[in-house]
Amino acid sequence: MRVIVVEDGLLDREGLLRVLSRLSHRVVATATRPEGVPALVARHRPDLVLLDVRLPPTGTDEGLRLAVRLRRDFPAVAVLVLSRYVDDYAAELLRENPSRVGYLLKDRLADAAALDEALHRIAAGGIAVDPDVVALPLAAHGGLRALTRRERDVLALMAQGLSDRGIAGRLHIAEATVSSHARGVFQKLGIGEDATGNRRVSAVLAYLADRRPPPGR
Amino acid sequence: MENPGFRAAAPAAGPAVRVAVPVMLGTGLAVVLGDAWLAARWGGHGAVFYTKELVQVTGWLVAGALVARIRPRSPMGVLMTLLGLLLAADAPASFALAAPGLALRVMATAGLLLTALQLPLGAHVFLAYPSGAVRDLAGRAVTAAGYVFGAVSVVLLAVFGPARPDGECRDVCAPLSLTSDPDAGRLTTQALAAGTVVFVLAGASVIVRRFLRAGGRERRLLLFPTAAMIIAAVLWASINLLGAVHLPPAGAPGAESVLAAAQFTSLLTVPAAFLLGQLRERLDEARVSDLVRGIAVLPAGRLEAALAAALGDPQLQVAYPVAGGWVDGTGAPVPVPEAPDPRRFTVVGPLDRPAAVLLHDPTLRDEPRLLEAVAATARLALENARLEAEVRARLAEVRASRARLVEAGDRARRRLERDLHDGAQQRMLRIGVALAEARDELRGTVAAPGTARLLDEAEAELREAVRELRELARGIHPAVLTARGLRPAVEQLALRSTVPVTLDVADLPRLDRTVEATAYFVAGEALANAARHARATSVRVRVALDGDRLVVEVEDDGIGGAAPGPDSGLAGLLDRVAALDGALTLHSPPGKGTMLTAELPAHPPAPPLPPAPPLEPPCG
Repeated sequence: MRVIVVEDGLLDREGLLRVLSRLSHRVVATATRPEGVPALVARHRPDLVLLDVRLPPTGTDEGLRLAVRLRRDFPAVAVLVLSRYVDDYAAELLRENPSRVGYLLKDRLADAAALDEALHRIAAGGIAVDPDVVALPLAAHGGLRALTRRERDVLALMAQGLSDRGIAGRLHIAEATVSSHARGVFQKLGIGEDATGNRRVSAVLAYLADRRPPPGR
Repeated sequence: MENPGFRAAAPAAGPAVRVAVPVMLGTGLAVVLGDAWLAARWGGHGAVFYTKELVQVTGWLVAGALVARIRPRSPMGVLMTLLGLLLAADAPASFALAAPGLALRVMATAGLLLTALQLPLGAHVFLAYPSGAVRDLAGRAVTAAGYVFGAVSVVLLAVFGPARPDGECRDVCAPLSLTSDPDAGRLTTQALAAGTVVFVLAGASVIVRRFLRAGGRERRLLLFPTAAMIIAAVLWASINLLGAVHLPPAGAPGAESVLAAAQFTSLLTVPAAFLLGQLRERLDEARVSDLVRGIAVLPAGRLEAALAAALGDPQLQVAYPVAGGWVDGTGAPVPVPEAPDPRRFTVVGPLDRPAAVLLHDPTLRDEPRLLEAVAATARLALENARLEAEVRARLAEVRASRARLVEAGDRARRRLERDLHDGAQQRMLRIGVALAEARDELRGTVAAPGTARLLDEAEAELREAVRELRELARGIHPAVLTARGLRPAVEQLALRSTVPVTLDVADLPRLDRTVEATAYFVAGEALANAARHARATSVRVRVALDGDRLVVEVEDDGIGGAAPGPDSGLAGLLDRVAALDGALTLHSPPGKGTMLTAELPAHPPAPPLPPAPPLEPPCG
């Protein structure tokens, strides 16, 4: 697929370009600063934009803001945010527009297959959240407490963006069992049938959001 | 040249003044008696006219002598007495002496010529109030112009004489003059009256401007005399305006006599106001005795207020010299100009090693004895206060440097965190990419059987190393704190806690970085302790702004009994919080849980002291 890379770190950029070319993706443009990126996207109409969460000028969260903006302005273009932090930026990203978007740790660069899978998934309209981000210890409170352990496992894999079949493979159970666990999750989280098609996303959001500690009293 | 401080004792009144004033007073009173005799014998007006004239003259004489007695060093009394003497001497010029013989004509003529000096000397006295010296440029210019105008008037009057009234001889009748052209006399009188109007208005404007520019203390002293002077000046100007516009002065007696009465009253009010003003300053000295009584038990913090009260100068400031500048009683820096106005600046103690300097209203320098008394009284207390201020200033500096150390430490931590991400972690990822490529290369070749396994091991180790490095960087300084501030950072902390956390974190504005980091570390340390030592089952974290304080409160339901050991994280936090001028309290009764509360200033720290000006005598 056609990709634009936005990354200011020299080593990371080189590494990314090498991995992408090995995966036979075509990098149509690269940028080191966020300002010109929307124009680049408008010109090249790539399938996906890969960007670092930390970009100049302040090197804090410019990449995240750029990602949110790109999703809003170019709904057909997928955005994958790469980060070195496990911080909870993923929920923020998904809340804005829970499709064609992903949040991965840069560790995944070394795992070409996982990166490729995530790229294809979000380019096809899905989401991808890094397993390490999803795996942050669950606080023992909130709506998630009602879930069984298996249901929680299924939900965590859904949050990473896996399909029922992918989850079945990962957990070594039948796909039908996964579907039944998923129904249990939707029911316990109060996600109704009318939320057609987006029940998974709603569940994932609930999952990511619910890990935030609740406000006191 | 003026002495910079009052180190030198105020010089005693010179013998000239001590002798001159009584002599002038005696002479003046004698002349008044002579005037009275002339008036009784040949006066053409009613008794009321002469009485008011002579009362006014006597008023100036007596007030001048009293002022000279109250303020022997000030020329004010001499000037006032001199004016009285002049008024006494020129009074016969307006007496309308009937049946003038030559002797009386000579006397009236002399009086008339002296009358020309009334204006300049009067202006001099007005402009010299209250110190006795005309100090400002405008005042000096007006005074000098007055004397020139007076001299010209004398010449003109001597040559052309005054205007002669058409009707009954009421004022100066037939004085001697070199010419006797009635038109020239009339013209002279009119011109002089007009000149007087202009001159009086110029002088009045100087006085008004001075009043408007005066500080609080000076205004208080000037209010009454200024009002009296301005009224007198306006009336004087009005009468001369009438005289300049329609001659003869005998014209409309009604309006003019009302004006004259008003002028008389106001002219008499001026010496009274001057006398009262000087008396009031004298009363200030009584307050010194209050100061003497209270100063032994006065806390250093109230010294400035007590001195301000004793000197009657609410704006008074006390500045103490410390290494590196001037500070007030609290140790806060005070701006003292490089070359202070010597009239607003008084050194207490030896010039090379002063106990303090007083920054005060310039009029206080006209009362050196008051200043001297107050300073002598307060010297010991000021010396003590200086020592205290010095300690406070040092303490403030130590505090500031401690806060700077913490700040520098935080900066280093932020940089380290960034360097770990940008340096080591990037390189480790490159290794990961290279390993993955190596595995690709191996695929399909016949390699040693252990190679693939070694690659797997290396990748697994690398993944773990990257994870550990990430957590290390987070522990050094969390990126989310820099990027998003305290609330998201605390939320992340809570997310990672193994003990369930209830958060009560207000929406906070971004605060000083060091304060945010300190609050974060307090919450982190308390959460870690709750999980590690307290065996808590729940923790509550509250972060809120309370006025200009940021409050962080972490409460668990664990076993309590926590105490900050010498090398514990808590001890480090105590230092850190104290360095920011905050307070950290630990409440941990055994068996009843632990509550750690930090209060931090929610604003940036104060700037350091300004550089010190050299302490030199304020005037050369």
